[in-house]
Amino acid sequence: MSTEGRSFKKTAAAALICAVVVFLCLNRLLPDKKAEEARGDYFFLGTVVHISVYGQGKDFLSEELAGLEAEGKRLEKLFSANIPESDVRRASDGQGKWVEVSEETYALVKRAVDLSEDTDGAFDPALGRITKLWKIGSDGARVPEEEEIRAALRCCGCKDIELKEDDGAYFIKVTGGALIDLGGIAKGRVADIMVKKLADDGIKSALIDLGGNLAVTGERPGGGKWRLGIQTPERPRGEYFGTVSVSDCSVVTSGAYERYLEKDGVRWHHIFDPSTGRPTDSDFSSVTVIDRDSTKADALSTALFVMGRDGADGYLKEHKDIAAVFLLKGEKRVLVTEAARSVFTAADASLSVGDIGGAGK
Amino acid sequence: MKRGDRIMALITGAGALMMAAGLLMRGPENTASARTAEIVVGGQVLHQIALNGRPREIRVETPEGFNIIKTDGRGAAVISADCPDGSCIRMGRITRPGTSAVCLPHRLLLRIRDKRGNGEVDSVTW
Repeated sequence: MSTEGRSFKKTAAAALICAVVVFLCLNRLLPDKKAEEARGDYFFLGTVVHISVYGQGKDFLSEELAGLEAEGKRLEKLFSANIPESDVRRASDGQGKWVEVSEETYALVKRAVDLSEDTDGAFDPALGRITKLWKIGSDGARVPEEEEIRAALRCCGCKDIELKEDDGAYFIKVTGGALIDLGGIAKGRVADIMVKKLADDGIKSALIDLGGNLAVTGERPGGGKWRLGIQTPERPRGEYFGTVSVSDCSVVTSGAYERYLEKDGVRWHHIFDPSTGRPTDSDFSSVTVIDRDSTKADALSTALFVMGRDGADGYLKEHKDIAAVFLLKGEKRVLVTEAARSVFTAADASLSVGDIGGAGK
Repeated sequence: MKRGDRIMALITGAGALMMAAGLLMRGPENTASARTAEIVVGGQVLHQIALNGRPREIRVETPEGFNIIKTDGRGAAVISADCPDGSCIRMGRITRPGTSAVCLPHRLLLRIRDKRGNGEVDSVTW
């Protein structure tokens, strides 16, 4: 073969490579390839809700948003302790009687009781007497007398919740004056149900924010992991001290800075210690749990906050799979579990990062 | 120059041109960091105010009560409201894209956005 022939082959190869490079560049640059977005802001579950869904077809995405909003509001009517006709309220009001509830409420209360046992009562879905007594974050919030707290505490704890399934119908019986309050787990459950709906409807990229409880479906619309910040306490909402990079996951934070009552210079926040009936005197400013299961992440963030540093360290040594980030109170120090190491990045250079729940039982 | 070389040069040149054109097309969207303050009531965006230096005060009447929002060249704040908890005012002045102040009783949300949306993260857990 002549030299010219060989050089032509080379040129052809080079041309092909060039064409591929140009095609790839255009593919990234041209805007019409981008996924469309539909966004919604709502107020339900007693908080502010944002949902963003990505895909093709504005109408389809808007419909999906409306569907998620309707589903969220339907579930709130079942799970909320603040709505008189909710499953949860009817069960609590039915003291000593079996009350028929929806399968969804039954499943969530069952899960809540399991997680309460798993965390040795640090998470307690039967703390309604205490939350109702303090009313932190709503009208009529106050610091009750010690006597009132002691009386309310006697009516708390999962021993007072019984569950029964009978021929496809579901029942809950509450005794001993207890009140069910799913405030520390319901948002997680709603997020899980929304994520399932998104998957069923073929949405591949979405972000759900239920009052700071985040859940993401798939990857970011442009590809790659979602970058989610963790709120810096005492700063405007949206400022963060670190980020986690995840896909198909949920990230939930419990913090003492969110809802509180200030009286005579003392702050009384809304995360109660079920053993004292008072706002938890925790070592942490906030606890963030990263898990695919948002129901678990929601309950665990509360439980680990209540456990404090030693309690959480002990629990995590027995549960090595849990990814969690702890911000220590009054210090510029963050503790992360082994499972969270690979997803967490500190955004503030003055933060030091240590371990929790490491090494042996 | 051989014939093959000429083809090569042509293709490389064309490729470079197209890439440059692509970057130019994208340029303005990236460079303009125009920030806006957005006021949302009950899920509806009521106001989008460009943060361009001129201070403004906006009184928003919600079904539940009023909030007064002040914007300037760098940020925005709820400066007055008749809500029971006043937490929207306590949140103070917000400046960074992605930050917000919320008045739950009035279902009002004030937030800062830039062209990209929420700044450098997709969302923030709290």
